[in-house]
Amino acid sequence: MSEDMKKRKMNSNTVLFHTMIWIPLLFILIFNYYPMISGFQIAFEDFKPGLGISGSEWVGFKHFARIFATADAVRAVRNTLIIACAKIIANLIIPIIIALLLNEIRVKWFKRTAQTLIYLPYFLSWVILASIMINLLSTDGGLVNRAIEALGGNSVFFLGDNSVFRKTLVVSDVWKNFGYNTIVYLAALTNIDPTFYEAASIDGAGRWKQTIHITLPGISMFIVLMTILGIGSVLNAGFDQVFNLYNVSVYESGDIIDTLVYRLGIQQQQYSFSTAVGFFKSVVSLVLIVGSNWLADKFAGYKVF
Amino acid sequence: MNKFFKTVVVLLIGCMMLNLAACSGGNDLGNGSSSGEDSDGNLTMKIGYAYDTSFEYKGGETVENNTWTQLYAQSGIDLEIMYNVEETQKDEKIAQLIMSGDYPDFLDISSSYYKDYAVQGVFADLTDYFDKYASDLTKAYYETEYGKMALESAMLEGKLYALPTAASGNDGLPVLWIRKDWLDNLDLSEPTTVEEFVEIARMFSQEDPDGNGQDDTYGLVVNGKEVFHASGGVEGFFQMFGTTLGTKEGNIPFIEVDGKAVYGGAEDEKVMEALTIFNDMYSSGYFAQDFVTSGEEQVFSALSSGKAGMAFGAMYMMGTPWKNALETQSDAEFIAVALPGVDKDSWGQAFYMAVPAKYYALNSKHQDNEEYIKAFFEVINLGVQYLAQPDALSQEDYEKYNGKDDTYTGWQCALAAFADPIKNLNALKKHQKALETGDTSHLNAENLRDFETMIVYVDNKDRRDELDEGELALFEGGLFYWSVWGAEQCSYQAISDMIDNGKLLHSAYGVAPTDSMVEYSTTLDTLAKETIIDIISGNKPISYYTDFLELWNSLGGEVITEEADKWFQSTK
Repeated sequence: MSEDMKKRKMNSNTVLFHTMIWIPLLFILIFNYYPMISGFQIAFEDFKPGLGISGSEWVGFKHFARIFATADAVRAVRNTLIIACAKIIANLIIPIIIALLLNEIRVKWFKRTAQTLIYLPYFLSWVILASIMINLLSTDGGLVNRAIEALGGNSVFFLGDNSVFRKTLVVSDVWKNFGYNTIVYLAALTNIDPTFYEAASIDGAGRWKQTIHITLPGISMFIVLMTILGIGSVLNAGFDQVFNLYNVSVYESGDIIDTLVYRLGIQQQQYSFSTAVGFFKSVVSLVLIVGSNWLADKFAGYKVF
Repeated sequence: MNKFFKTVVVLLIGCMMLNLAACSGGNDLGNGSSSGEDSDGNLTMKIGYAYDTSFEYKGGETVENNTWTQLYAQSGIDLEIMYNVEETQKDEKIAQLIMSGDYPDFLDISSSYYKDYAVQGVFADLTDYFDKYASDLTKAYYETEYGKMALESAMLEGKLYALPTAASGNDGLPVLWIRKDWLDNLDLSEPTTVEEFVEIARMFSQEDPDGNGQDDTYGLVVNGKEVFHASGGVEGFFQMFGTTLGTKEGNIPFIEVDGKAVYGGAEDEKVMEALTIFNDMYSSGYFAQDFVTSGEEQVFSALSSGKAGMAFGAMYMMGTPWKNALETQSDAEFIAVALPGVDKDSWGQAFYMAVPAKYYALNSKHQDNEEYIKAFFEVINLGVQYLAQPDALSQEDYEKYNGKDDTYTGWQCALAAFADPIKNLNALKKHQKALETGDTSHLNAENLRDFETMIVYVDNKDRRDELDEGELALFEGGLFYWSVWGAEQCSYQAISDMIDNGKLLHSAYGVAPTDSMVEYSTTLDTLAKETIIDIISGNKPISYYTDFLELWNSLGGEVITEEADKWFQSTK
């Protein structure tokens, strides 16, 4: 009898808690999920603004077929994958190396100054950085090319040559972001128990051995986390950056999905096609995130969700 | 405890209810005006404004209070502004509002989207009301050559859904801009043939035209970033050879060849000849090796800093670079010449296309509401009366509604911005005559305003450094008019030469683009840009152009060429 009473009491409590969670959930369903689902319909229709979502003609997978039928779109998918993968890898390795190096520095003021300085470009927008870069990288008296020529090399057309454009994108992206990423890893490094290092040095491990066997395993969780988050954005190769730096002669190596969608969707009002591309991007990203999460769980024993 | 939670929940839900009520209350207020009339008995018309980045209100006027809103209020129309955005965002904004179902009563639609929206039932059918409500002036406006063309382009299966602005292609013709002082330094005369043009480009880049003893100049500046553009774009270059490849205001160009409408770049021999010369000029260094990264900004700075001596571009292009050039090079002087031709007797053929820029339409929900239809025509009639008839207005009225520095914002505040399509061409002879004789009696209000500014430049040519800030602003405004109408070799003189000699490449398609044209234009334009740039910079051989044409046709070019030809044959 008393058991039953207790159960009932618990229930009425949970009902209250549930009511409280259901209200925001309902809001999320109505304001986030409903528009998303009705919005995705556009991808399967020949959407006309005047006819509305329910009034436009249903065309099934026509727009998805077009993604793979036009050479532009295939090229954009390829470029996106190459640029994004290169960025993910470079943005993973370089900040780790810098974080490890900074961590070894014992002169506090130098460490702090270096940290601040490398963090600075992160705060500049690509619109500003792009015009600076166009000047710096110009073949017509740009600083970088003058330096190359002074050292006896031939000037390189960084922003107009298909063989170097992607590298320019990756290097400039790393330059902009590595300060921020470094700080994430530096924060992780402070979490490592100093007694491990003491124990290791007593056992005769040098700096290098300590790095390999204590530091890296200590921050491995963060590395996995950052990689999984990074892989989710594998189809985002950085619209801001590419849009401000590219030009017609490097569409071949630099036109990414987002810039293509911008030209078609926003400038030409092809809503259905650009929604189809966005939908395709989301599905691929979802698969990649779930996949990498599973892999991380399997090999590193770590799960984000 | 239980009670406490209940209270909290009840309170929370109560709060939300209140919020919801407040929201719907707000909506009610928003929709309340749909009854159409406000307290002073005026009709409320929902509208939107789009403005240039450089636009600003003058003389303390605001978007809600200016000469035009006053004029509309006197005619019984109050405005409710739904959007006030930059020109580049206008199409997107309108599309969003139309999607939401609550869009302006008075719509200003670009030519590319007019047909689509009309078919979707966005606009009211005006066919039966034109005769009834259009003023005599408005009717006369649509009976002129360009007015008739514009009105025809708005007719869809015998029905009229919008009143477009009449347009001539004159203002869009490209000219060749040259540094006159450099020509003089090297003892050269203006080019009339492509050969001479290339020779000038060579001398400008190799013979030190600015006489500073350094190899720091180029013959030409090319806008390789946007490729087809009114400032430094490549259109003018290809039109010297009688071909044109790029979109103009979003429209793929079609020209007549052997009685059929074909793509402007379909004649591969001519294009390949042009490309060969362009590629030669590039490899000889007559223009910057990194031209693909220069957009309008870089084109302007190359011209202002005395780095480049020639550019193809629109008649209104040189105002900014010239005035900036004067800051560092006091003897900088630009002239405009007609496009050179392939040989001595032929001219270049500037591509001439007259597509109405704007279509003014009424929200279809007012289809049966004569009050709104009448108000719509009132807005149109006022626009025609005060903007398209400069000869008939007093100086005061002209300035009030067309604009005057520091006092009236003018035409940008009008909902329907009409203009006399050939007023700029007519202005040329008037200005030249006034400059010659000093007599201004034959100038209309608009000409007089421009002429007086131009005189500030002419009078102060040699004492620019002594001017104060206000005078300098007028001086620079006058310099712009001088570059268009005043100088002996001004840009409208070049345009007038091209028109008088009939050396124009006329568009073979004259109505709003079809659905497929809108759909394919970006893809085809991107392809054309890439191909041209690749061939000019030597990444692909000249012969690749024939592959391009095949690709162009297979990517939708063939379909739209057929559509264009169908229209072209129907006009014969």
